[in-house]
Amino acid sequence: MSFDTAFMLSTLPAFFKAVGVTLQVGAIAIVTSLLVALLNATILVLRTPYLWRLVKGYVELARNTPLLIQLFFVYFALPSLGLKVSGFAAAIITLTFMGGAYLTEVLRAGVEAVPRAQLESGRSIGLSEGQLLRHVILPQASILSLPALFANFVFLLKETTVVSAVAVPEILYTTKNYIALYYKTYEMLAVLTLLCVLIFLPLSLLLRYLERRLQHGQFGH
Amino acid sequence: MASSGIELLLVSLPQLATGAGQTLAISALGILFATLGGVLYGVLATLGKRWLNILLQVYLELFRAIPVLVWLYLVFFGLPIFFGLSIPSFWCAVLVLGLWGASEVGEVVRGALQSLPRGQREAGLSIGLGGWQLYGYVLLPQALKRMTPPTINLYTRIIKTSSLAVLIGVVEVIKAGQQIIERTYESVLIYGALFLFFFLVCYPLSAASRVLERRWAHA
Amino acid sequence: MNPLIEFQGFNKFFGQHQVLADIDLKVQSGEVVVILGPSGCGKSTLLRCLNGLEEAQGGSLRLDGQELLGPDTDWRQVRQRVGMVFQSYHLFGHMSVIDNLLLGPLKVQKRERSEAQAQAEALLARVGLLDKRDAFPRQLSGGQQQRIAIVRSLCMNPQVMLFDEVTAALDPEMVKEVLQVIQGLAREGMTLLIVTHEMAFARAVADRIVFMEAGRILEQNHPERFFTQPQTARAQQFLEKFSFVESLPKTLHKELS
Repeated sequence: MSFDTAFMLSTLPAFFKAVGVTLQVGAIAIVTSLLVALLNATILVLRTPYLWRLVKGYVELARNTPLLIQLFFVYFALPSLGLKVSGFAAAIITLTFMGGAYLTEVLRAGVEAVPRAQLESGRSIGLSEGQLLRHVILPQASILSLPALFANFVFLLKETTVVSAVAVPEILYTTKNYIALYYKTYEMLAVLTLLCVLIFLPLSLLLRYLERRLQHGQFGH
Repeated sequence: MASSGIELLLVSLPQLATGAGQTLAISALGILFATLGGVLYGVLATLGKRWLNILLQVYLELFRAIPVLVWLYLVFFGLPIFFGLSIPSFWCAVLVLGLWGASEVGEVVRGALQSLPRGQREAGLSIGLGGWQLYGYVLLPQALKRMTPPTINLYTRIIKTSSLAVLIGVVEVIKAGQQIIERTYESVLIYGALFLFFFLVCYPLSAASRVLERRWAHA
Repeated sequence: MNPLIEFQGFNKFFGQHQVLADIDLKVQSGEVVVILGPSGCGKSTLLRCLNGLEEAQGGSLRLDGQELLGPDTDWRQVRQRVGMVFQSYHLFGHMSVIDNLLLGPLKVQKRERSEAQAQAEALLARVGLLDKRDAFPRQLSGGQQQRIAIVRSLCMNPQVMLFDEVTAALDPEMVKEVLQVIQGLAREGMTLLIVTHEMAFARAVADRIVFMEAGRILEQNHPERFFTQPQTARAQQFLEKFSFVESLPKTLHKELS
């Protein structure tokens, strides 16, 4: 079986761009998901009536349906309601929808993991609920959530491969494209595999290191 | 408008049902292999043999570093090239879900087994139990409660991930839905129905997992 | 008469650290040997080498004439002849008491259920726990669980019983009931190797005391002689820690001060 390395090298610029798209989509999705999750977590912790149930419903819906369906709904179904979006936008919206739900769970678990004794001692020195939240709960919950947060960030980055289904030019889409155009299946799959290992393996090892340092390992999913 | 929507759904039901059957079949088989493989992985990982642990870790990291959808393509495109095997995409999906699922379930099983007091293993060995007996009569039964809730969550993930099979050409429920949409243009209704389908399958499992976790929570 | 158990020049390392050094120990059939020594001296490790829970690196260990330190040793067979009871009893929590007792006889020794059950129930009755036959470990006290752990090992019909600090994790009021069971076994002529901190018990039940420190046997003696006239200064110091009474002979006292 011959290995057309020359061809592989010629595709590198395109793949470089593709990696950029993967990271771009991933990074934006991570940030927006985190913002959504922070909002949701606040609502859950404060137990805002009615909104709280809405958040719970949203989390259940987003976590029990596949990303692909959510993506197809946004990209293919919404246009018939007058909402047409680009593949890139659909990707971001969907990843945020799903990521926000997962991260909400992580933050909620982080808040619940703060030992009850901390809350009690905070209240007993006269802190209001708001002060309790800001000075006792949030700092501790943040640290407790870090490994799970990071794990979900990596998960979101990996899920960007799914958005190849709506023609977003990330690494998988680029690979499929080149295979369709040039039939160099073996070489293109090799490049794809290599890229995945180069990007995700260090992240996975970093995550394991982080978990060991912080000693907790709860997952949002 | 609403009545024609429901009419449409009823008319398309057989086609959707066939697709749903495929989705559920892929999921069920994937879950089956993932469970069997996962228990095997967990047992092997706790035998204390270094070379085994390294092997299992490589296997695990391979499936964690490479996203499942990429694996689907690797198997779908790669098997014919590397092994001259041409298997239907249905079985490609089952294979990938099974192997990936096994690594995830395996980690859960491993964690559960390792959380048991070491003395259980020693007590079992001391009355002369051999390897399989030790795991079968003493360790796995006691690890069962700890491994079940996370494993059920993994089952949910496997079911959701099975949706990716449509991208390698399996005619499962999404494909069926897309075929109906091609004829009728009722994309909101059909995708909505697909949403509902997956939710109705996955939500009970998630809820069950939470209930079990609460009920079986040990100190 | 040939010893039932024989350690010769026995060595064990944990990495670089030598845990057992040049152990020479013979145990006759029917003997009750109590091993004493400070924490970390290797007494538990010695016991655990006898049933293969720890691996040794050098020397010889014979059980009934059979060499155990070799690549071909079938530890499953050995463990049926060497019973072990642990500090934390480790009963199988998901099984009832009777199932705990029958697991070994039925699944390992493949005995007839009726025979094994009769033996198990007889032994349970002997330790006064027949009424707990169908209970689960979590419903029982520590002392009850430990007595059942002893019965679990006895059901395998071992030649030797090993006891690794079996009362150390028990509330004080439950220690006696367990020690009485062990004493009963000693009276019946069973070969016992006991690691314990219960000095009075050691004195009462032992045929021989073995004193260890830092992986070596420093002294072996008849219990009465050991407790009243220890031969080594180390043993002397060790015993000091357990008694409130000045029991040192005058000459040795002068050496230490």
